[in-house]
Amino acid sequence: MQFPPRFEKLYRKTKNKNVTCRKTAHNNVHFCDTALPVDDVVGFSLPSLSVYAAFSAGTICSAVPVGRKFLNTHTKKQTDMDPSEVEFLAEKEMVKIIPNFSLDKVFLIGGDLGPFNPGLPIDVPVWLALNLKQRQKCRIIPPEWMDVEKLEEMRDLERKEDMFTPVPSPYYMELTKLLLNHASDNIPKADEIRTLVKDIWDTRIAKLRLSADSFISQQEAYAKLDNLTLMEINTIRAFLLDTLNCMYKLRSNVQ
Amino acid sequence: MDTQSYFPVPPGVGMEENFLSLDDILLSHERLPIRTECTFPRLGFLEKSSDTQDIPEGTKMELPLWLTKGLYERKRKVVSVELPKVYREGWRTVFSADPNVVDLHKMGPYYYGLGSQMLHFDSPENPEIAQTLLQTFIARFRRTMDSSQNAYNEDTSALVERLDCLEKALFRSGQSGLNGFQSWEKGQASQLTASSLVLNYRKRKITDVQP
Repeated sequence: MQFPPRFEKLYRKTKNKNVTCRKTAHNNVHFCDTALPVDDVVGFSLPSLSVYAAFSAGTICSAVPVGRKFLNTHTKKQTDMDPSEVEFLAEKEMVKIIPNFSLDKVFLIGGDLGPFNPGLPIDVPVWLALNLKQRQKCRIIPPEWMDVEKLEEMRDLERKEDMFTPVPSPYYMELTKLLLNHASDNIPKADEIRTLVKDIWDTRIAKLRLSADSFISQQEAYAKLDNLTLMEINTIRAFLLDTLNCMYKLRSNVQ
Repeated sequence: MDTQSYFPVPPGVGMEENFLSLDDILLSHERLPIRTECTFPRLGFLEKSSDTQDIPEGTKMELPLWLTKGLYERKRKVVSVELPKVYREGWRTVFSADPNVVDLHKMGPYYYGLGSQMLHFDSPENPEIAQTLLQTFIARFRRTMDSSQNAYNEDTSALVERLDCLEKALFRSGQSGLNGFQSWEKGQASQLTASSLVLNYRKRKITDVQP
């Protein structure tokens, strides 16, 4: 893969440091679950290795080395995802439905969706299930974890443990909201389920804040948190990253 | 998505200021007490208290930060800077005892920023100042996080008034995370609303223009 000579030189000089570059591709670029805006020219700073990788993937068109004095002024502003984007990712999960129409096998880019026969259950992505439900062409079967007793057990387990317990589904919050808004007639005891999921969410968010607080107050270098879902990370990401930035700069004053 | 029409440059928190940041420009207007180490000929008009032509050696004046940084030189002593009250021994013990009690907005709205800039002036107490800044920030973090993540749809002026400018920026980013999540949960995220850019420019609707 040939890179322009100026970029090669930049990469060799700034290996493992942050490099400011301009994104001139006209599509969203996803970096480790963060979506960068579609604006034409946005300056942001990335580790030079990922600039290299993004360049080779064709998603950015030029890397502009900016002088040291201005390097910090072009920091990435939009460091979090919208909750709507997390919901979009959640709609890829599979859910069981019972259609009331028949259709041959459909060949989509993301995969095949098997032949639909009325009355026979079939697995489809959530986005299709909601669409069919709104057109009154199917009946949605709630996922296994969306059951009052199971959620009560999970809630009690979550309250007992100090660490994060395994989640029913990596997108439990979004699926609850989507399915209970559109298909509450197919799900028994919908209100109780909503309350239970909210309880689990509140407990986990409280634990997350506690661990963020201990992370900062003890000035640790890294923390390992298992079983966190994307939505929970998303609510705290901007705040935590800004705080860590400030703490890093104040700490570099001490040396 | 809530995009802004421009991205404001954030202030540099450490010893480097961001040239284009408005917060840093305002910070550099803070006045510092200094003592001149040599005479400033024919600049007597700057010093209102005495009516001499020159500013003699050893005068105590107040100069803004941008001027002090420009005049300060380690080898040729032009000015020597005294620490403002907040960064001296007395206040440092207050901060180490309980930082949450202090009203940082009153102590100069740019406590952390000015403190970091003071480290340029080679005072012998620099390590302690830097350490106090860091410890104060860490101790006040908990309260900022709790108040920003829990105050939804209420008047936050009482929570914010005792915060330094840096902490106010953190409070705002915490609030934006919270507001985004809550509005998504209520279902407002999927409602189409007019973009803030359009509202700012106040485009006239065609029904208003036509008679």
